[in-house]
Amino acid sequence: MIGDTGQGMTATFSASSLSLAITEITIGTRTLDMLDVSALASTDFSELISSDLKKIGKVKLKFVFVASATAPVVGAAAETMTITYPLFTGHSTASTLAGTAQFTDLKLPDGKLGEVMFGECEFQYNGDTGPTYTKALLEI
Amino acid sequence: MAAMEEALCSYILSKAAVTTLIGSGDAARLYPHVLPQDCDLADGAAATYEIITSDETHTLTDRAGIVQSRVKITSFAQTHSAATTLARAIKNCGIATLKGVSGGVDFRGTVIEEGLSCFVETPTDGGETWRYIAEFDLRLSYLE
Repeated sequence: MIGDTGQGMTATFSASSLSLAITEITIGTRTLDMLDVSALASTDFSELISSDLKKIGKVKLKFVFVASATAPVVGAAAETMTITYPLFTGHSTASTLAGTAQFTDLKLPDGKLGEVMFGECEFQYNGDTGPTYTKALLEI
Repeated sequence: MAAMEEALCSYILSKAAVTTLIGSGDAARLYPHVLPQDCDLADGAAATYEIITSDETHTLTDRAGIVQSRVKITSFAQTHSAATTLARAIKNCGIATLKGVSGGVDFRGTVIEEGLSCFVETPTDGGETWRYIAEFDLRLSYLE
């Protein structure tokens, strides 16, 4: 049987001392551009070759705003940022996405009557180390 | 494999904050769907549970296994205070952190789908004993 929810997923930081009450984590897409090398003699389909380097989109964290909590610092030095997926029953370790990254965006909450205030921040893996996705391991 | 409802009840009835109000074991006043006729609210508050809907996820070849059920928990009492106290005791007993195997069922996440709502039933027997009700919905994700 397969399937899981996001409950228990975490984001941790090697240097920033953050305690965010995260409600949602959005993982950026990793992409590899395909370069069009079609020639006048090409037929049927465009001819494509892969680019040399992959790109990965930003990771967005949505969190319940706590006024006394330390906010992420945009522009701080790069550090290791790790996304840990929920541990599935029967697995000994959880799957992770980790690499050097830095915060690029911080959206402090808007104020509106009758609505819970949420903040959002985004970080970008900088490609210096990783990011590496490591799958979970089954219990032996 | 245990049924999700049984595992949910076992979990709820493992919490002292709840059993203080509705008793424990076979004597616990926690029932499926409806209160039995001999359940006297003068003895204390009682609660029911029922699956409202369930969503299944399928692969192209079979059920994936993960099920998401909306479960309504309804508490009954002779006073508004007792009804809401019981409902809140269950809602806040830790059920929203339930993840992993409990009572033989692999829960994969639980949220309060709809928070507390309260109403009252007027007596239909000419008496003056009103029945106060407080209810909320859980959304339980589990493997089955």
